[in-house]
Amino acid sequence: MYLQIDNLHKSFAGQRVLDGIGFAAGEHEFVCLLGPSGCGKTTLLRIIAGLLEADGGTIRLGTRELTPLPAQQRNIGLVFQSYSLFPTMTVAQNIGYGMRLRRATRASIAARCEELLALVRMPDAAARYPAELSGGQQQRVALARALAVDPGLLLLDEPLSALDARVREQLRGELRQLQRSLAIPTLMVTHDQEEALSMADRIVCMNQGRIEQIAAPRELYLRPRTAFVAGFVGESNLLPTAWIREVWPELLVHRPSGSDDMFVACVRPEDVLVRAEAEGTARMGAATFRGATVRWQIEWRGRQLLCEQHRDTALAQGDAVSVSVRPDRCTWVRA
Amino acid sequence: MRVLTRVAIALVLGLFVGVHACAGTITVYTALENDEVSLYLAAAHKALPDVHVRVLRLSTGDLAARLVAEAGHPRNDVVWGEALTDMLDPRIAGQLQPLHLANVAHFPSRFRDPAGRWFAPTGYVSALCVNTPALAAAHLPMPHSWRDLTKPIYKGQVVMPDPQSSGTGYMMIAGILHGLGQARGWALLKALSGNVAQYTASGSRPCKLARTGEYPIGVSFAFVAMQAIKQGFPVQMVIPSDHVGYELEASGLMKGARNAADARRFLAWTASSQAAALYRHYKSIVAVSAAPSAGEIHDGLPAHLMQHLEPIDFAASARQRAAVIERWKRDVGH
Amino acid sequence: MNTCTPATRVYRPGTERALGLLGGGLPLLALALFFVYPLLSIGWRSFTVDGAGGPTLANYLRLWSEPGIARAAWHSLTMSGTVTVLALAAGLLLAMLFKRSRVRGRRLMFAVLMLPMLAPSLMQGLGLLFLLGRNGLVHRWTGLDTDIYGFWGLVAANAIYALPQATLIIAAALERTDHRHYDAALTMGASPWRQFLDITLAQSRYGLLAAVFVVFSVTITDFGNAIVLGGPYRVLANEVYDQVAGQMDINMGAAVGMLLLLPALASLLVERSALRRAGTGSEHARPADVRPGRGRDLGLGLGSVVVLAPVLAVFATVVYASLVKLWPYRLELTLAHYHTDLPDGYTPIFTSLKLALLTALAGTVLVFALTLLVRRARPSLARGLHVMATLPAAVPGLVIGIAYLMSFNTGPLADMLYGSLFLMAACNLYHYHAQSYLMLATGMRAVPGALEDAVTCLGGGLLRRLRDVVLPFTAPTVASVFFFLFMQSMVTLSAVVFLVTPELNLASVAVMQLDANGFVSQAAAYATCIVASVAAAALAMRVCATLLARHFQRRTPDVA
Repeated sequence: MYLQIDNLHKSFAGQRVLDGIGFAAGEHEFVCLLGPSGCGKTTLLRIIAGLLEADGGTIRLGTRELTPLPAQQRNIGLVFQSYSLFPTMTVAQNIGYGMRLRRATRASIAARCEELLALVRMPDAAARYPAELSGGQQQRVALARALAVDPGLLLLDEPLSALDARVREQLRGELRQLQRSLAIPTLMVTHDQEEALSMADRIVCMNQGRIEQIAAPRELYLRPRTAFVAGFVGESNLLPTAWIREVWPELLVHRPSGSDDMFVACVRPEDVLVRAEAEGTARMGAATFRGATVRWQIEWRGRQLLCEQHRDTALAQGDAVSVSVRPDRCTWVRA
Repeated sequence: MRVLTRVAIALVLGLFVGVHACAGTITVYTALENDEVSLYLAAAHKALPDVHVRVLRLSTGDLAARLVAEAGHPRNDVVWGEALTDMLDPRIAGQLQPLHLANVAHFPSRFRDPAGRWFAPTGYVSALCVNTPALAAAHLPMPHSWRDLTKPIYKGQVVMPDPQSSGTGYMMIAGILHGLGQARGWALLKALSGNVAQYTASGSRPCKLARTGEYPIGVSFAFVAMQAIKQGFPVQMVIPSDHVGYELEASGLMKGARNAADARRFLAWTASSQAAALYRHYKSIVAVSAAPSAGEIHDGLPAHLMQHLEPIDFAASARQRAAVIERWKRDVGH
Repeated sequence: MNTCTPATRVYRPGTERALGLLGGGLPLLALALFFVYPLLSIGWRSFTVDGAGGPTLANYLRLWSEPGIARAAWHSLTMSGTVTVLALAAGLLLAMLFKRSRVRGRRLMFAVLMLPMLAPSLMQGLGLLFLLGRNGLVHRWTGLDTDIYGFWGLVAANAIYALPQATLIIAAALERTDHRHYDAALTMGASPWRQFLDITLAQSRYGLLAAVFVVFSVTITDFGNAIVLGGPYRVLANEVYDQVAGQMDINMGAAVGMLLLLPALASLLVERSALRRAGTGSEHARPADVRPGRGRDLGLGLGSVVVLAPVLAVFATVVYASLVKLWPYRLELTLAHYHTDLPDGYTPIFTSLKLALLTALAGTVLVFALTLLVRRARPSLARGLHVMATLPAAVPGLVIGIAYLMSFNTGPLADMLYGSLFLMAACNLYHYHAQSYLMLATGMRAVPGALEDAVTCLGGGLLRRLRDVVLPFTAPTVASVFFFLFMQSMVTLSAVVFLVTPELNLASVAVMQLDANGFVSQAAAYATCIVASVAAAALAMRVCATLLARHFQRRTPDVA
């Protein structure tokens, strides 16, 4: 693999923030580091960039061992949530900054700058100052600045979270497209599972300084391996073994062997099948309208189940229903 | 920025090159006043043209502190005109080497150390600076003695130097205690203290406060009083008629003097009759000419000042200073 | 695609390491050699008595039993507390005036505010005396029985002295409060007063606490004013002076000096715990646009006039006194007092200018480097350095001077340093280290950490980070520190008076000598000349700085 990380450790004041982190990324891959805030993903990013020193572990990029190199020599492009442009420099000066450091000629800087501005769809912004640009525009400039020096790896630290929803949506697409066309290996930190699912080739899901699961978005959603992933990526009903044995024994078929409290069943709300039935023992609870779908709370056998239905479903709160799940739609995850 | 850096480096390097003593140069620390120092030095230069005198002028207290702090590696050749009480502190006196100058031999005995470590060509006496308009405005009679100053009418009208910080303050107390004895001396000091508006850190300050009319009466020494009169302030100098304290201004040669020969020549000149003639311009007490000048008498100095002054054992006075100040703080001070 | 060479070509790890070592090592070495070492040696003296070997607590036991000490300590605390409250309120008002108002004549007011910094401290003592003394101008004009000596005289003099320092530190904190906070507050309908409380005060709390520390410390350690105006109101600084200059008991003086460190140490602890959560700035933080505000400007303007008028009056009185024949009896105007009787005339002013320039240049570089180091250091190390860097404010100048005298009179460095302008510069720098450091540390908080990271990732080293991120964001504060050190070096007395030599006599010492020798009018005249030359020098340097800035701006234009 192109980027190879092994057994990274980091502690702050005796508290472990990274614990045995290891994963790999391919040469053209877009990988997302996903996790709640405080899970260590930004720390990991800063260690890869060389802005922080790890307590142990190795990072390789291509044929190079990165660990002993200072940040300046890693040739990594970094884009921050806060844009971090030089306020006293024009857009062109900002983009050309890294090249100027490398003593590139004036002409080559100008040419590269023009090329990049076209790439981020801001061809006329060269002479403007950051303060005159919108947040989305600033982030494009920041991206162009990071790309200007042909980095071997692009690191994005929550690049979209300071933007408003519409711009974010739009930039997601652009960013993904740009990454594909440049074929540059990219690592993006985010806490937004939707962003990760829609953009990444692969997702590294982290929690409390450890990696919970590494998988492609689809697999991560459909086959979560731990209760944390199941709960953090999308929503799910997490149901204890004993309860399943009592109500849906057929779901036990795929259950790995192990004690009752080792695994729980994960059932996505859209996989919960509901049928109106007068003698049904389940009761429809509160509903949340979500546009295309409606999310229901269902009360059954002492538990609240989440269930997603098409908005046209003719059900009302208090209706008696029966509930079922197809065995192949139930995933057993580590508790 | 780069130019600035270069300038800074040049400055730093340039300043490292210190001044080193060379032949014919002596370093003198003195507590004498600037204007008199200028006058004496001009004359000394005429008498000793080959000696270059580097003078550092500090107040009495600062000079003493500096001498004590520098004791590990003295930087001067000569101490010139430091208060004798400070000079006799073993930490300073211990740094002096005996020298027996011919010029000093005929000084009256109280102006020289039998062991030869110090001699004092000059001295000064306690004096009151009385601002006449301020005194009149407060409807007060002219005081003539310490005893006068203890009268209740002067309450809040007197400023005195603090013996804790000022040699002049201690000199005054030592004079009273010496003249009246312990019991009566302390009683007088206590009564006096009741009238004192404030104690000042320096010995000349009470006179400066009095001369601008801040307070009618400032207890100081004769030099500043006469200076105030000379400058034209409406001030009258009063030498208290009872038990006036005085202090001698002592000089000596440092043990580690780098240019002892020239230092000795300079010290000999300060004890010369030529120098003594100049001292009369400033000093109330001059070792070799006991009588004040006509001008001084006009300003209020008694014609027979020296007879006025009881001999004081300065060594004992220096030894007792800590204890006296301790008692003063406990019994008298504010 | 590969249009530029890899970063390895420009980034030289060896050079970078050397720079880092130099940039970190030099200020640490200087701090250790010129502050910690003298402080430890004077601290050690407080545990000794002359003529007896071995460490002893005798001095501290004596402190405990001395009758005056407890009362002096109480006086010191109440007086310094009062000064702190007054100077802080006035300093905040003035900082708001300079940074957050459109009042006209702010430059003039700034010049008046700087007076106490431009002038030897004797000047404000004299001024207050001439103005409010028992026979001062106010008494002579109105017949009122004025009596300045004591608590209020001390409070007035120290408040005037501390005011510019407090204002500068608070102004550094106000330099870059994010304008978006104000925008947000405005859209939520917050009144200007609420904005002031919730944003201005909250955002500048670091600066405010730093100002509290500085004002309290310089006040409790000052003895110049205590001696001139304290009258019967004795404070701890009197005790230090009495012990050292009066009774040559350096050990006991050192013990009182150590006692004076206690409130400073305590307040440093309070400050640390109050500032646990310390973020860095963001590059979007722009100086809040000052919107027109009639009521605010009127209030700030009037308040500032009320605060500054007495300051101006005090200094004007001294200048006036220097121009009359015999203060206060013969008020015919004359220039006679400007013909000084000092043997070396006005040359000490040039020595002082040289010293001040050296102190300001070397000091700004060293303090800047130290501030950077603290910013990047591990928290535990940073805390220790912060305490060391701010502690000098709590050491009385007299104690620093004596400590220098004893530490550098003997030993391997003595021959190189003793009696040199360089040592005096070090003494001045570490005497005023806390204020310089706090100003810069406050200003440094505006530097966005992410932007520094961006430079690093793009291949830039330490120098690039400084040039492109740190300096553009701290330039005004760096300039303030430079001028602060320059001015203080010109006029400070208490510490350097112990380091002057026959060749290196300083202007402030000359003023003190003239005053001590009874030539008060000449002292006033000399002090006026110092004020004029400091002002002229500062002005000249400002012009140079403006020209330089313009030169740089042509290369990297500023935000339109």
